Amino acid sequence: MEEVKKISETEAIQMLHQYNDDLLPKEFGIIGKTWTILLLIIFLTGIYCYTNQLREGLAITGMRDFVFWGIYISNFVFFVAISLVGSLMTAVLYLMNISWRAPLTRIAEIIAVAAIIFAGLIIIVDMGRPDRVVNMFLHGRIQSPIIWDVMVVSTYMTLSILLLYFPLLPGISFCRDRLTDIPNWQRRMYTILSLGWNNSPEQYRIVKRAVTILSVMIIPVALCIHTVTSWLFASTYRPGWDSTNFGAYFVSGAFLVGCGGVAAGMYLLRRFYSSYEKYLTDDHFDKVGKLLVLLAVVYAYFSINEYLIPAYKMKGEEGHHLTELFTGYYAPMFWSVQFFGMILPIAILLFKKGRKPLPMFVMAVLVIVCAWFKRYLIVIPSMSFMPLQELPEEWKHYTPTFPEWAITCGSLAGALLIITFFVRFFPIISVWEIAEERGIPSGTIFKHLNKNNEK
Amino acid sequence: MKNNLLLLLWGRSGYRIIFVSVIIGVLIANEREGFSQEEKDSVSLLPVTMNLSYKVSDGIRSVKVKVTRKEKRKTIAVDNLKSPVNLYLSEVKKHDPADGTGWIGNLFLDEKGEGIFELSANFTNLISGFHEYTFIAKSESDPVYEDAEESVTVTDAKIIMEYSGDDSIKTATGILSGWKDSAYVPVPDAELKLFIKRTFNPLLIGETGRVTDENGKLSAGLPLDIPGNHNGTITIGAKIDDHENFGTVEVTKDVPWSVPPKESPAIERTLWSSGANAPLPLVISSVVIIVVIWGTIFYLIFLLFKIRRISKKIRPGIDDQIRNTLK
Repeated sequence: MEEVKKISETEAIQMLHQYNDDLLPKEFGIIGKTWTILLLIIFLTGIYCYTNQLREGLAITGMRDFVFWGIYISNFVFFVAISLVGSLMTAVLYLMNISWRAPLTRIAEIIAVAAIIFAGLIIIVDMGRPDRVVNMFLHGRIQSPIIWDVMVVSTYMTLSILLLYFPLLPGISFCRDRLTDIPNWQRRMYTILSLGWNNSPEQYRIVKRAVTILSVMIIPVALCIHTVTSWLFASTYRPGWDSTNFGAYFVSGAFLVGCGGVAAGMYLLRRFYSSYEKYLTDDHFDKVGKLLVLLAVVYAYFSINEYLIPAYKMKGEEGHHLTELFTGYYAPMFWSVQFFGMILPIAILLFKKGRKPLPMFVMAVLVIVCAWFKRYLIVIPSMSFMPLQELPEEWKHYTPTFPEWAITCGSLAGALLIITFFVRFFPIISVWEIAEERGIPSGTIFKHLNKNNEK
Repeated sequence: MKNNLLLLLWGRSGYRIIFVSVIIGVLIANEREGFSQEEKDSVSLLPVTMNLSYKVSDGIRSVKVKVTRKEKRKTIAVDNLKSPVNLYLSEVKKHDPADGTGWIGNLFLDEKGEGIFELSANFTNLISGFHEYTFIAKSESDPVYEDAEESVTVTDAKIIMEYSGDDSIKTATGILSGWKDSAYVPVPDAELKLFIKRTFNPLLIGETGRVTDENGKLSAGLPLDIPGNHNGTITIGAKIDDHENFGTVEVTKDVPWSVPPKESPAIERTLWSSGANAPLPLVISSVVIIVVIWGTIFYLIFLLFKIRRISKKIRPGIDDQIRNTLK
């Protein structure tokens, strides 16, 4: 990373020009367009299947009376988990004054916003009757963890959007003032969203104050969102969920997958926008890699706690559940997830060569994919356990149907579409935060940017 | 023209494979369709089982029809008969207003494959001379299921409910009598159940499996501590279930009762109460957390307005631009 102690005003202005040129959003090439079309197709297929579900009811899914939570809920837990990265990268690193976080914060925030939006939507999909959502607010019982989840998801979504939006205001104004060859609707969008931003020092002060408040607030809310999600399970009588370790276990897993999401995003941005190499350096990958190892080790610790002690006792239904996971039907998935999603990334990323961009990307993708299947393993095997006896054998089994897969994949594609459109229309790396990180005095930044606005 | 088109398609080697594939595909699709049509024509109607039962409850007579079918050794309710099940008295014929025999009505089946036909008071008047009835249920001309017919023959029976007792012993007695020749006579050795009506299922009293004596009587002591109704009574009853001659006969009677009903316990604020009765500490802490967090969020939103106001002060042009865009 570039270390700047004293920078003259001329140098600073040159640097700022360079940042502007490098970091303004650019039109997609053929790969970007193909990627967007592919996501749109998957998303629209999901929408089509959802309209079928609205018409036919949840009967078109594989869920029944006993297995009443399926891949929609695994997907919800996955989305909530990955959304925690916003609080980690932005809030925790900001409050700890970690200097290298600047190019990563917005990547983390947009992942958080996209994920939490679709976490909320997938819950509505799982309800089967979207018209009854309002009843949750009107007639909900404050004693129910489901109501806590509804409140905390909506609060976290609002905070994440604000945490994305405040530091983005100068960026939107750059786009408004600098992008010339753009359609009218795009210019209108920038004009409205920039709130007339004119780079005045007072506006920057407000943004910084808001970011500090949000960073302090979002950490407990982020911890709450995933802890409450874990309580949805822990407060239900099913083997595998009766755990006091669940909150910490979920939160640590969430930080891991979130960090994996940022690492994957960093690689893809660097790969498709060559100018980003100066900002998303090997040093950033090295540091995020170390963070990933730390989080994987913490998650491994909680995973051992989660499985080892119940496995030592192997009592009743819990023993049966663990046998299914360790040596039974779910064993291949269970051990793959442990190995590829935790052990292998730790082993590879412990070495400096493993923390280079490409191996980092591969490990990050493994962490993300395994995290999805880990949520599947948390939800489905426990659901297959029946608290009543002498019920038909077929009630035990759950196989997601095609519409379920299509809707789930559609939601994942929808979240990726939000990120893709954001990258296309907004600066994914913050110019003013990069400038500050590299030691350009605030006064110079305001002066330079104002000067450009007046052009 | 058609030949030219075929030649054109056939002549280009690239299209030849596609053309042949399409033709084969169409032929296979048609073949499948033809086969399934043939299969549809030969589909035989599904056999069904019909059950018919008769019940008199406090003088109200009803007939219950249940239709089921077997599939893979499982009994499945038939709930999709296209036409209603017809009911007849004595014989299958049109209704005869002179003696009330023949067609008496019809009913549709619910999702359990069941339907209950309540015989009207008018019907009872019409057949006042009868004391033995044959009810016939018939379903016919259904496109999916075979025709089915079932009959049940019952004789009139009645139960008289008696109550006696003082503060220490209270007894309920049921006396069952059935029509024989020209009068009601006591029915011995019938399994009569005595019960007290409760909110959900009836509370059976006395030992199970007891039968009526030679006078058709059966008695049982009532539990003294059982709470009564709000009007100072309890409802006692007696019934015979699916008797081979009489069907189901049931009678109830309200008798005075001194034990007051249990008052609902005071509504407590617990985790398992309704939303309106949540524990106060939970409500207060939740409200405080929500107010603090959302209060801060509204403050942050206010800051956004402040940013816009600052822009307006310094560069009014920008604000005008926003206003124009929003128009």
